[in-house]
Amino acid sequence: MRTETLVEHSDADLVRQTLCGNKTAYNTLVQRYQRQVYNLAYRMLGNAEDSGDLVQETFLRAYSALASFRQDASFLTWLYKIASNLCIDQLRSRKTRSALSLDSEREEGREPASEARCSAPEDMAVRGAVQEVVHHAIQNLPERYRQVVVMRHLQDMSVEEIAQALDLPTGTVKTHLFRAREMLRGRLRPVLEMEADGK
Amino acid sequence: MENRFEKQQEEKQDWGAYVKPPQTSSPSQESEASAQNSAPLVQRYEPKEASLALCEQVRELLPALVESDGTIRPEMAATIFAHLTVCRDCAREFDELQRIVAVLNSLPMTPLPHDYSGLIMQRIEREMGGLYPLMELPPNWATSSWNGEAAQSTNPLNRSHSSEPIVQLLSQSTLPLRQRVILLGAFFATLLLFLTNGWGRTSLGASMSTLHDWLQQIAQATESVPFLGTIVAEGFGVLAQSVHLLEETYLHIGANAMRGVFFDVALATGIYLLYQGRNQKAKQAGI
Repeated sequence: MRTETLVEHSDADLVRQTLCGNKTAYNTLVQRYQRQVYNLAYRMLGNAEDSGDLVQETFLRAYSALASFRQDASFLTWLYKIASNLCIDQLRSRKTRSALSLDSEREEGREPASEARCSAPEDMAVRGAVQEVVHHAIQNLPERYRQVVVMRHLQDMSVEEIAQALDLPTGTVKTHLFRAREMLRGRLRPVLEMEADGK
Repeated sequence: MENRFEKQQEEKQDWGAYVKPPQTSSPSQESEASAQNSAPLVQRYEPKEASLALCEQVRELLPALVESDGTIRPEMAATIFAHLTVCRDCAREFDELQRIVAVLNSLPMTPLPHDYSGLIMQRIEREMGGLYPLMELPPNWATSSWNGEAAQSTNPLNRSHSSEPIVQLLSQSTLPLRQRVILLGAFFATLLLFLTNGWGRTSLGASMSTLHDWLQQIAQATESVPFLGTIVAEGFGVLAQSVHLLEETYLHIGANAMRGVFFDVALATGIYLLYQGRNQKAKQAGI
């Protein structure tokens, strides 16, 4: 009975109830926001398995640090802050790993798989996978640009909310957005032209 | 006499350089210009003819125009749109920007492969089950209504408590941090007792002069041992000197001042530990 009513309750109250020891309240928060966190992770990391792990890690860390949540921002923005930091950590460790494997692939005279995958966006678009191409173009953005693009366009956050989540000035967020879109414009030009022709 | 109204009108034409055709000098050029006048506005001028600086200004504003975040005033937006109708390159850039934004916005939310909440709650139970409650449950939280404005006003959990963060902070430091603060407090209290209480000094033999003598004796005894003994003796000598200095200071400034100094040091250390503990927790959370 209580679960039903908790669903209608505000984040702030659910946080307070969790701090009072009510785990059902935290479960409600998890159910409420796991999809958003998963999507952020998925667009940042690019695969479902890592994104699932990141969702778990984000909510565990949020639980352990819940007492330090001061409610200056919304609970979701706070979650995004934790999740995006975890994403950056994950991407950095992945970069280190891939640098090592890239070296070994090159030593063996093979073409690195990631480069082969990125080389033909037109082909992917022909296969009708425009979204896949866009997703891939986002994946190839530098981390800081990827973060703001995902938060702005996929999570529908305002520039101010992004600035709050990433601890950046709003001007910097706008600049990152501008540069990210410029990069995407260059990379997605064939797709955009194809779409325009199709229309 | 200078016509100020005409001048003002000319100044207003800053953005309208594209609306008005450029001045032609010869009759043949005039006929070309009249032929161009009959063509649509967009095709009439190539961007080369337009001011590149103005194009740059407009392009700087295009992201904000696409964003529609209110940073561009309506009259400025109207001017930019007027420019876009005559400048093909800027119009193309604006169009591409809009399409990029549309493509990004059209990316769907990925569905969850499965509900993670059960797994997360299991892990919470297993890995940090004893972390909460940090706060006392208000007496009527379970019985109060949880929806509507009534809940907002009657539920004590909805009220903002100015003391909450302190309560949370203290409770949060239940663990190693609190123990550290208690241990530190006990240590300083004992030290204060030794230094300021005659009983403490005499009964436990912690008199600073006695300690100084002992340290000196050890230093002298070890001095005769070659190599390592000399180093040890140096160490003990320095310690003895430090104790002597402390004793002199103690005798000079008195017991009360000494208590004050130690209280200040203890307080500063306590605050530092609390601050460090808080930072550590935030760091662990990846914030």
